[in-house]
Amino acid sequence: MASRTFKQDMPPKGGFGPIEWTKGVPKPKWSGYKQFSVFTGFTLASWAIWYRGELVRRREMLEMREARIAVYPLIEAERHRLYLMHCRKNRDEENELMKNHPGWITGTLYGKRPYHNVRGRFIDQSCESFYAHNKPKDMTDNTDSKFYHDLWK
Amino acid sequence: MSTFNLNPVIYTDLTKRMQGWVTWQSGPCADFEMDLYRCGSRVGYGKVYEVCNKEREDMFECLNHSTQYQRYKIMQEERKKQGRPYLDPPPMHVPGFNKR
Repeated sequence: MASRTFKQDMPPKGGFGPIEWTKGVPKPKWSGYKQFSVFTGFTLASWAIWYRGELVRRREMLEMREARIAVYPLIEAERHRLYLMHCRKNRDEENELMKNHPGWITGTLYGKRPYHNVRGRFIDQSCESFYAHNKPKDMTDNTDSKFYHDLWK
Repeated sequence: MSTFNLNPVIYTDLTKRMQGWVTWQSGPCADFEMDLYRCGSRVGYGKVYEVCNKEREDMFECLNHSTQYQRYKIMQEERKKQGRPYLDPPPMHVPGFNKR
């Protein structure tokens, strides 16, 4: 009864396969030489394409730079004119404002000029002088750098 | 004068740049400082306060803007007292073209 249904555990047909005793490191799909040459080729091709774009960029920058250099004197002249026009407005406004102030002379501090100006140069005004008749916010918007905004407060 | 060597003993890349750190020659008051030192070098240290007073005061005025600030304060107070409206602000980037 038991001997008829019992099946002994036997090796498979053709015997067992070979025993894997090696490390089994997998071989890469591309060899080292192929990888390096693909990398080099790709890099060189991309450099070539980039260089064509770089030449175009340099030409455009040169053109913009030359145009800016050509136009710059006109812009500076406009800027100087606006400066002087605002100085004139300041002077007229100061005349009006300090009409009844005792001892005041426009452009001076009760007769004392800010600069002796021995050499007779054009001296740029300070911010306070230029924005004398504007709100303090207008001055700080245009002159204060954001890092030193609250330095003295 | 051709044999008079004006170079400093130790001249490096930093020499010219340091001159802007220790003097005011790299700022807006360069001309005033040069005037003051020119006058002072010809007169001597003892007489600077007598002879070069104008250059000295111009230099301090350029550094501190003290007189112009006082004027500004007086005019702003007067404006508040009178209740006079402010002017329109000037366009941007107009002042400040003489600052190096």
